[in-house]
Amino acid sequence: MRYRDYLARRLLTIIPAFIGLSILIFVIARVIPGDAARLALGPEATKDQVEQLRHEMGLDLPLHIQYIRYVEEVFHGKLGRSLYTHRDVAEDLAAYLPATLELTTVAMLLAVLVGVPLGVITAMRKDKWEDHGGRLYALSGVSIPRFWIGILLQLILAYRLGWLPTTGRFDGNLPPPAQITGFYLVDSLVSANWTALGITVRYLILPSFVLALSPIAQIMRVVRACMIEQVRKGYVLNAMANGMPQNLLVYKYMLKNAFIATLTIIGLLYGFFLAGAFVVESVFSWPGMARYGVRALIYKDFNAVVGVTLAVGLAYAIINFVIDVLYGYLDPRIRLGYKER
Amino acid sequence: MKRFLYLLLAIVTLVSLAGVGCGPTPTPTAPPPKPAEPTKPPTLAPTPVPPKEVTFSYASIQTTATMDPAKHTDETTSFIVMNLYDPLLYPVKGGPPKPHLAESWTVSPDGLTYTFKLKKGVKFHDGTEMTADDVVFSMDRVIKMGKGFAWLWKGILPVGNTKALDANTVEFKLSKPHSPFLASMVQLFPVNKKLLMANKKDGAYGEFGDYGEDYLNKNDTGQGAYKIETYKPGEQIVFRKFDGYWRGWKPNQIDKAIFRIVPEQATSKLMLQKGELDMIEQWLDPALFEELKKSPGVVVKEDPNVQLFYLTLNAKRPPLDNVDVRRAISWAFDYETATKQIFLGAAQAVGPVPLLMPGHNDKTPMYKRDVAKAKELAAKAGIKAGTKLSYVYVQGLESERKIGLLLQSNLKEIGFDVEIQELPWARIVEIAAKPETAAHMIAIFHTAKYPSPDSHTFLMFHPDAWGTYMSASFYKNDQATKFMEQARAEVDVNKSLDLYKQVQPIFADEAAALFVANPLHRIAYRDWVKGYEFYGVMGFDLSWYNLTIEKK
Amino acid sequence: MSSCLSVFVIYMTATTAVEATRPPYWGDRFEAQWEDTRRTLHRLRKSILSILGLALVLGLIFMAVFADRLAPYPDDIAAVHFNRSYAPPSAEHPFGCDEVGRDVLSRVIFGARISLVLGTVVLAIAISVGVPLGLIAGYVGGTANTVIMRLTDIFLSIPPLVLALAVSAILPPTLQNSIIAISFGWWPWYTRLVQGMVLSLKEELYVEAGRSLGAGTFYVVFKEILPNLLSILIIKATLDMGYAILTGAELGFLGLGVRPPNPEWGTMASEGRFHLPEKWWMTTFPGLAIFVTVLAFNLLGDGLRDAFDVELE
Repeated sequence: MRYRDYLARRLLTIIPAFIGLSILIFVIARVIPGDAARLALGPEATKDQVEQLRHEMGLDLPLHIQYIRYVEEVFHGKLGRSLYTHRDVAEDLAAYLPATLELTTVAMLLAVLVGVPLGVITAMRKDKWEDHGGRLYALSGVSIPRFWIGILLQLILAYRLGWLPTTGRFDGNLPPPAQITGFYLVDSLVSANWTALGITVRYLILPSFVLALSPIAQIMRVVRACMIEQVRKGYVLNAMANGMPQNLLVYKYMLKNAFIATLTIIGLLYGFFLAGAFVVESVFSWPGMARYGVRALIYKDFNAVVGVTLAVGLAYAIINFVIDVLYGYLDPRIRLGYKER
Repeated sequence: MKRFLYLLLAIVTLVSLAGVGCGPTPTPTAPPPKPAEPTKPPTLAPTPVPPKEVTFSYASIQTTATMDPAKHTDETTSFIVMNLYDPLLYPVKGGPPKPHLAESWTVSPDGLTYTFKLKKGVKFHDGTEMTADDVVFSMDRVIKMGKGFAWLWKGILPVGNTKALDANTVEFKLSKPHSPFLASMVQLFPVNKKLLMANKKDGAYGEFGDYGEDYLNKNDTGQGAYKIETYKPGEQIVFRKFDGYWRGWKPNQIDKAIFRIVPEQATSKLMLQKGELDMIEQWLDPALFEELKKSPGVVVKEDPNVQLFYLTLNAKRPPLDNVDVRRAISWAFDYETATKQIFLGAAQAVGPVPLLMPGHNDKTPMYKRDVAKAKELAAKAGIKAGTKLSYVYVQGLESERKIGLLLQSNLKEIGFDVEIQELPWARIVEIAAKPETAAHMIAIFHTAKYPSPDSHTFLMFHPDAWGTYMSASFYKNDQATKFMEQARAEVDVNKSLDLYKQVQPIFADEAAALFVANPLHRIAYRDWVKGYEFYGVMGFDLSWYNLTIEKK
Repeated sequence: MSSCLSVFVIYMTATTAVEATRPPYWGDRFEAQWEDTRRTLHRLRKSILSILGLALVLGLIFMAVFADRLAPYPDDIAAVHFNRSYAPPSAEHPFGCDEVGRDVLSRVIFGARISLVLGTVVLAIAISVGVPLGLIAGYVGGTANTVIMRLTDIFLSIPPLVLALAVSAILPPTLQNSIIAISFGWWPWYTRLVQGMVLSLKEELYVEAGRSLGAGTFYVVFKEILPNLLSILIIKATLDMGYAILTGAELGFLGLGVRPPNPEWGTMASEGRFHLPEKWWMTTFPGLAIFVTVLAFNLLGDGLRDAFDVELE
């Protein structure tokens, strides 16, 4: 019962924060210099035409009315017209979001699948050379500029050695897998298109690795710390004394705790992935929402700026909520006996 | 049981996230995306591309705003239109335009009535035949919508003065003589009237509704060599050859052309070097073309261009309202470095009209870098050290950025502090519209819009043309204005050109803009691309029809 | 880039605050002694790294302060020399020259100024806004707490880089504006951190004791709570210094950084991209400078964490 209350409370903080975010971003975007109406009409438009469009777009209304109108539109599935693609931003997001979600999700899986074992190893070999190597990697992993390592890897692996494609999400000369979900991995799997699957994977390797580089380090450190903490606690020692084989111990008890520890930071890391996508998609010309967002920012395309920012906020909020739920599922202490602070 | 419920809750939330990602309408009850339609056999997908399809891919940093032949303005929108539609007349390098959709024409002695005979049997992409009616409709549509190249005909060709005399004859009756009119016919691309009217929506144009504007945002109604296969704004456009094209097809011509928008030139350069692209745009920095010359399998084609690179000098904004200040800037600028080191082999501009344009006046005075003279003029104008000037250039254009750094360094010597700002092209177009918003200096590449010196005089310095990016100098000289109007009205071509020649020294002497260079036109492509030709009128060189692919 | 490690701080302090009681230390005396020795050794080894970090940071500050004397071509922030455009690394120009012939080494040296100023000011803003708000929220509680924390939630509901991007898009590209844009998403992390810590500290007895002895609120806050926060704030600020610089570089890379000709590292790397792979030095060295700088602050922060013996990881 209490856990359900906890989830309800989480929802109650997420929703007002999200509304606040939408107001904040809306205000920011409306302050962007540049007359949206004139931008939309082009250089040859007359003053009257511009005024008329300003009126149609509601740009002559007070800001709070504009916001209310915007929210109404949102409930009709519209996010306003992009000055750049001349489509509704919702349409654009629907087209670009799957690419970003695919990239960030693959990067996240990669980070967990590599980060957790590394964390376990460094914990088991505490103060041995593996541990020191891990620390060095962790410190450099979080310090290295993503765009820089991305460019260097792109040059070496893709350009010089030709092992991987330089940029993009799919071979431009071939038809992409049949559109079902927009996630190429899923689509090519579902339609049993192995060629497309192979191509998709080849295109995913570099960007997802660059995106995962620093989170791997972060997960590794958290798992390591958690495992060491576990060792300090009595039960491991007890189990050892009772003659439990070490491997079983590690897997059965510690790994679960390690995953719970990972889970605590993965929500925040997802924000890190989303932010990283803005840089990584630019480097690898990944046709995702973040690259669309960067372009919208540069082109002062305010509907798109609002749309992208809200989509990022929403994705972030949802992932964090899901993680709260999973957390409760995995950690009975919270599920059964959640107490208020 | 409880565990199961929580797991379920987690999954449902995730699925609804996916639902938001896939559909534009995130309704609360959105059904989760279904896996695959079980009825569809999965055997269709893995079939590889049909053999021997000739594909071609081209990349540019600029995105498209439109493919409507009444709305194109810049190079990207122009070449898209030019592949989907054919114009009445076709440009010829360094000469008057040649017949195309129009087979022949006559001009009345008073220079007011132009009559064109159309080629018979030209088919639109939907199979219907093009008639004079379509041409009339298209001309009125452009003028009434008032976008794109409408300014070519605004004020000289009232709506209703275009008539179909019979199915293949069109008559244009001008309200006053206008010598560039014939040249302007390279910018008239007939649309399919029936198809557009069948797809019209409500709009501001009475019986014509929205003039099919909405329909043309996603479709084409052309008679050109290519039709749209897929259109993803901001990402790519796929062109498919039109089998019923009136000029017919030969082997090795392109079946499928892909226009990819690659916002980083660094990326497109790498892609060309790797052979992932067949051709890249002319807007790369010349230094990049030098690097590409050394790449095996890449051809860099250089052509003299009918193009002026200049900086507008906003004469409505102090201190540039003072002619001495404009002259000081013109004396301070290092043309030698700009032409040799930045444009790598361009000619210094001699006044506004490019060297290769008929009607260019080679006696127009030129400026050379002379810091002493510049300092003297600046001092005379009372310029104090640290006076701020703004320089704006197009985002992503490396050569314009370098010009900015050179300018910043040159003008520092005479007391100016130049602020360099990069802006997206759309934003430049916007600020250039008004003297108050236009920067002191804006970098502009002005390619001939039609083969007439009018393109490089009237469009830049006549008060009627103010409001476009070309005229952001807001410079006005009454005598020059008079000459240009006379030149436009003059039916005799040579007399008209003489008048255009007379105005050029005025603009140079008063430093109406900083005339920098007539750059070479450079473009790079893989060596298997054959038949590329440069026309000197914006966009026409990127007609895929002219190219063949000969891979070994 | 979100201040990832600072995220740990928040999470870990939050969880430790919730758990409040630690399981008792295990092992017999002998075991404990052995563990002590190991720890000392470990700390010593780590201190080499943190001294390296400190040395690098001091070096960077030195470089920034004396940039005009250290840089071989100090004029190259603004001057152009097209005759040596794209000169590859050589004895005269160890890092080569860029597209307008400016010495890359000199610009990298001057770039330290921009990055350090950016990092310092962002943190100064974040701390001077975030810490007082956190103190008020945590100490006063009630409505103030609710209002402040809900406000914080709004800013935390989006990754700082994304917020910085949105803000920098509305402002002209200058160093000042980059700083403003980054600070926008930075302060709430401090508010949340401080609020959480004040809440748990408040519970602790000595604050209660201080109160019952008649000490004023002001006294309690500044004399009791703040010193307790100080060590963690110093560590977090050190680590964040690196991340703020990294964020600034990423803004620059995406074209929303400083105005030319200012030598900002991210912008320099981004400009050099045009000429890859041929002119690799234009991208490689500025990128390396960012990497070394951020690493230096991380090493130092990591070392400080051990020195203060604060449980953060």
